[in-house]
Amino acid sequence: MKKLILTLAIIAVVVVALGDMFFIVDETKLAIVTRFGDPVRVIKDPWFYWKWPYPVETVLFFEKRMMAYDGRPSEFLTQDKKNIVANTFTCWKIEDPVKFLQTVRTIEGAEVRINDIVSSEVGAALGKIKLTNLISVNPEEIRLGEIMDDVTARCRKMGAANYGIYVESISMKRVNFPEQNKPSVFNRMRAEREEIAKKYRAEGAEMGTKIRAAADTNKKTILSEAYRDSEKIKGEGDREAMRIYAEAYKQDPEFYRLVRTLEAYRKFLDENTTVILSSDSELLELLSRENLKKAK
Amino acid sequence: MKRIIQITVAVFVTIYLLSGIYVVRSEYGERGVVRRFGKVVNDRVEPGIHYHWPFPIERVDKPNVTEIRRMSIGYKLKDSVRGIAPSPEETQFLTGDENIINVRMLVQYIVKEPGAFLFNFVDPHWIVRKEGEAALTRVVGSTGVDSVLTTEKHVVQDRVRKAIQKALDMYGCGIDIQSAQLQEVSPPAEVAFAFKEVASAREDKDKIVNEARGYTNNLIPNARGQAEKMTMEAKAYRVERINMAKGDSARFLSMLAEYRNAKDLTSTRLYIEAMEEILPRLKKYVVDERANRGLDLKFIEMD
Repeated sequence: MKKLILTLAIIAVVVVALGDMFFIVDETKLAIVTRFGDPVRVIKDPWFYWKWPYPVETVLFFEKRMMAYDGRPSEFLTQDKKNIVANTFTCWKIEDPVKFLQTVRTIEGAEVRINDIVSSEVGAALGKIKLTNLISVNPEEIRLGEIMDDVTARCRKMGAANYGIYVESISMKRVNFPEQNKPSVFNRMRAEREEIAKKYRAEGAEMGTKIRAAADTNKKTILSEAYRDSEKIKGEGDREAMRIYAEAYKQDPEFYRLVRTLEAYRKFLDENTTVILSSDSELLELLSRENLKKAK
Repeated sequence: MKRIIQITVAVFVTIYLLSGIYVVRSEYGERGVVRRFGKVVNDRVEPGIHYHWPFPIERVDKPNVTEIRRMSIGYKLKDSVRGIAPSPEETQFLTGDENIINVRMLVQYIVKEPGAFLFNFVDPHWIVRKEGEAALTRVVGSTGVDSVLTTEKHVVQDRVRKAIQKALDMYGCGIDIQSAQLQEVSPPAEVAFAFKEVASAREDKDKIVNEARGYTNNLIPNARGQAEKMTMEAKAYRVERINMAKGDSARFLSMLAEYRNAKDLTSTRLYIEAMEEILPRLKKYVVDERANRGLDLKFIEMD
């Protein structure tokens, strides 16, 4: 019985040991095989592997995929003495698992180091530039891309040398003003808006006046041109009429004078006119008998 | 006894082997990714019934490649469902002219390459938000506040979408960005009134200009009408004058023809007829030439 138990125990140990000799490295993992605590093999390709069973060899797995680490928002001072809160994120992955294991051990440990080096590099970079190199309406001023490329390159070098990690990219996720500066920013924004509103109103008044003045000018032009043309037309009428009259009247100016004078008399002599007629006048000469005789 | 063991083993082996049957469902938009000993051997198994070697030799993941996934920027989707307003830290961005504005954006994307999606990045979902935020910071940070609020919205969306896609392609996330839409672009509550004032000033400007245009539109046609009237009247005058002249001259000429037949007689007749017509309505004084050659006009004045 004792022998049976011993045999079963040995079989159990052998099965467990055999089971511990095989392991699979997944597509998403890196593996280190350690012998009595010393790393002896680094496995980067996924497949089925074997090792000596515990306690001779142990396998440790690490994340192989890229990770994104959100930095903590921190306050920085730009070269032109403006306080800004900048927030970055870092894309990184484990490149050298042995160094990683020896220096930071875990992802959390790596993130603490990343936060440290990134914020000191970002702080140094931002201290050398103006705020308008980060945000500006003039695209030539903006140097955000090259600044972050520069920070990335420096952190990549440090990460690879110190922690066995590869820093793929560091990006500026957010730029804002610190909470305590916001009231003054809002005051400035309000003042700018008031200026713009004033400008719009002034422009409106200016344009309105211009349009009205143009309309008035236009009206005067139209009317004066019409006056000019109509006077010209009238003149043509007058000239033509004169020509026609002259044509007719020059045939006998004496007769014209007679007819026209009599017509004028008809018009201007009215009830308010007093005439003093001489008895010698052609009309009344017959009133005297002598003259009557003469006429006979 | 031996037979029972054989059957039992056979059953277990069969069940074990059958456990490798799997279905990739097209109605869930699934594509299969097969790993053998952890190594990808097929990263795009089309929908249908398939077989893989049972655990632990092979395993299958079936990500959904047609589902349109959503990621919010500037707020949290679960907060917006619950009606919680985003914090200023989440939603505030700086514009190129150093204004603070609230921006909320929704990004829609699909998993294009399941293999890349599963094996290149931890939680690729969140990298969409991070790259989206970074892109918004860059794009909004290079645009003036007025443009962001009004005319440049589409440009912002377009640039952000392209920027996210470019970054994700660099990481090899296997994600295809379908759209990036601005859901809110607005000034913070602290300055909202000042922005409204600008909008109403702009409206006032338009109103004044429109009124002036209305004035023009009323004035000019009126002036044209008046001008037309003046011209027409002048033309009428011209015709009238000419016709009158023609009439008068025709009358004169016909009278002249008769007058030439008997000059003295006709002129006397015309004279007397005229006097006959004129004199009755006048006040008249007849002065005898021989009796009183000097005429005293005093009594006329007294009258």
